[in-house]
Amino acid sequence: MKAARVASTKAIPIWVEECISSPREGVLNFLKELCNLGNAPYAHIRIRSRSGFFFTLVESIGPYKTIGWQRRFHLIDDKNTQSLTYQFIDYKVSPDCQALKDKFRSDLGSYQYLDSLAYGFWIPLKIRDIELGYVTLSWTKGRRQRSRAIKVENYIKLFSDYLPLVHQACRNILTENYLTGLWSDTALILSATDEHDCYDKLGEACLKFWGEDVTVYIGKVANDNASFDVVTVAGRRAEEAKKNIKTHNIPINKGIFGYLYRTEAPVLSYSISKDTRFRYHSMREDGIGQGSVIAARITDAAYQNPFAFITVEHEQDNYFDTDDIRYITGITRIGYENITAHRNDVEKRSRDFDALFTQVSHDVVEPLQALVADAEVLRYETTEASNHLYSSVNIDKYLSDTLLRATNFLDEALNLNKIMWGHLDSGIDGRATKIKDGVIRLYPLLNALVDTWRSRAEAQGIEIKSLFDSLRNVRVSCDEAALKSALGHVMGNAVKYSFWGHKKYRDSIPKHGRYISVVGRVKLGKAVIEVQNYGIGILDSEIKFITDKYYRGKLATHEGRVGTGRGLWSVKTFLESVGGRLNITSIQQSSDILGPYSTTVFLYLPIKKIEEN
Amino acid sequence: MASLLWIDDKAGDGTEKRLGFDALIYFIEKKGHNVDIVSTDEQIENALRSDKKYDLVILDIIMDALSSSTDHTDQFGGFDALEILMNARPTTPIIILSVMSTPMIKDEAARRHIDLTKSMVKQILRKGPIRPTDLAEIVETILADTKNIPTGAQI
Repeated sequence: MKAARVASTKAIPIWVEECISSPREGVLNFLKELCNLGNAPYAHIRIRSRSGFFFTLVESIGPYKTIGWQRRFHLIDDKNTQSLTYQFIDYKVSPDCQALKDKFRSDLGSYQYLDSLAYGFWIPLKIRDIELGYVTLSWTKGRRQRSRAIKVENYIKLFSDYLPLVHQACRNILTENYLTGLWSDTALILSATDEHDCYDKLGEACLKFWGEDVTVYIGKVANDNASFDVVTVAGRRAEEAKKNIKTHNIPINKGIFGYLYRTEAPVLSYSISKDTRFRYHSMREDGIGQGSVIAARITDAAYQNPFAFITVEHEQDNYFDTDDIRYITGITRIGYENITAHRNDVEKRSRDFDALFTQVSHDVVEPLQALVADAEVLRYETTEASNHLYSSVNIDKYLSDTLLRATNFLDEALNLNKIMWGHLDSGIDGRATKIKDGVIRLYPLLNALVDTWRSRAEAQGIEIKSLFDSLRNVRVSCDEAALKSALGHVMGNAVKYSFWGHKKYRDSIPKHGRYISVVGRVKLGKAVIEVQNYGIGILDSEIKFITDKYYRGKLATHEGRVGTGRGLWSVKTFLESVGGRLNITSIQQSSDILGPYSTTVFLYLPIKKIEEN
Repeated sequence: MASLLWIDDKAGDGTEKRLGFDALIYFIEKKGHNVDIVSTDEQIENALRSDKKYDLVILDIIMDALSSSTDHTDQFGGFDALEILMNARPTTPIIILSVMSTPMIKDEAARRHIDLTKSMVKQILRKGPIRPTDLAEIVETILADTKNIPTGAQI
């Protein structure tokens, strides 16, 4: 009758609507209402997890939310663990509370709060015998007052139709927590600067999510796929583990890592000691204090070829829930992507360096190889010759051969020396260290340039058409070798990036031949040399970067053309050093972005002197 | 005695005395093997398409494209030769001897859809520090593996 009077005089509580519109406020106001009715300072709410085995902490009035176990496997303090009932709890003898006090012994604020608790009252949240969760009210002093409990019980019964809304609001809060956690942890993992840092960040993310109680181990699969190395240990047992555990060449076929190696799905073990799937050996072979674990492969979406494993363990049984599988799956996928990106980056840098090294060293390595080869043969022949000196067999021939080889060896060495000095002189960045200014006639230089490249171009069915009569009397002032080098770069590019013409060009007049045009003229006091080709071009968006050091055009790399990305940069550097400049245009000739393109390189050089014949 | 083909645009200038770069094959020849050196486009094309049996090919990569090449890339003539070898001489073992690194060679092979594992490329050596005696030893090992001649038979 009392309850009925309350119902008739009370409207629908505000928390009901808030549970829909603003779940966290709705749940907190629901708890506040219960605190008010029971005159209790603290309250917290847990709801059943998706697995049905756990009660997950959602919200609290007071500090319990940050102190209590996030998950509780059934009601561990309750002898009757199979159903929820209204009942008082004596915190002084509660093993759960004692365990928390042990945990927070060094945290004064948390410890004092736990120590202040006198008793609590469990309030089941049920609808038609379906357990949704429960609320705990806590008091710090006084005796158990049944009257307070009855008030709360009546209130819950009165509004029991709305409990599913509370449950749904709690679900929304937990989902939001998961998403927020995953989002911030994603940012954390993606902030890793290299592969090893990524493993550390994964460990850090796990600690953020599951708390400092857990210990995270990450084992990286060795190249031979037969063992793994522990690359990260974080959390509660990290220091101890770092001192005591073996971290390298751990056989991959044992324990939980071995199990993961054979099993694609993540592992959730409520109790390691009772788990028959694997003997948990990875870090604690003694089996002391075994608890629960969640673990997963760090692998691609197809779950193939894992390159690392992550296990998160807690010394309590039943610490992890099935919901946690979502989180560990999420972070391991993010970790995998980030690690792969770092690996690819390292690989790319290594290959870029390789390509650069190959290009730069090509001129040097082969003469060096000749020296190495000649030196060994020379030593062999000298030894042979000296042996034959004593036997007086064909001494003249051996001496003659050895002398010839020695002379050749010296020539090779001198040639290599010249090449090396040439490289050094042009500098590691292609910037000339010594510019020997001289007055150069452009016309013969361009003629020689065209002659040099003509046969190479013809081999590709490309004709070189030249017209630079207007430069016949033009002279420029700069280092001749540097100018030749710059023009050589431009011509080399024109040939390299041209589409091939008709092969018949070799034997007859080309029917479908391509051509490169080299045009020279005078404009505004500058000699302008235009080299135009037809083939692989430069994207519009790249024109402004194409002369940047080491920048390589996307179309060129797409077509597999080898280059260093230094050529045009060095041409530009040279031209600017003598008061000239470089312009490039590349015009798409078809609707296909891959080309062909008509590309023109304009070299502007200040004229030193113009003489009339 | 085995018959070898060395394809390299830098080879063949060292006279019959194998001076300079050609000294690389000095000890191979000392062991009694015959080495044909081809370095120009015409020589390479002719040798690859000839009926002459070769027991092993030493192949450079960075060379001008062969005239029969259908690929526009003009710096990897060795791959043009490799493609011909894989079709015309599918059982002849090959040593790649090039300035290019192994990853770059694999990249270019992939770009051309060449499966190196299905080719007869037995070894990839990077030019620079290769000693002629080492090369001779590798050649002997590969020849022995292919059962053409017993190891060291010609010493």
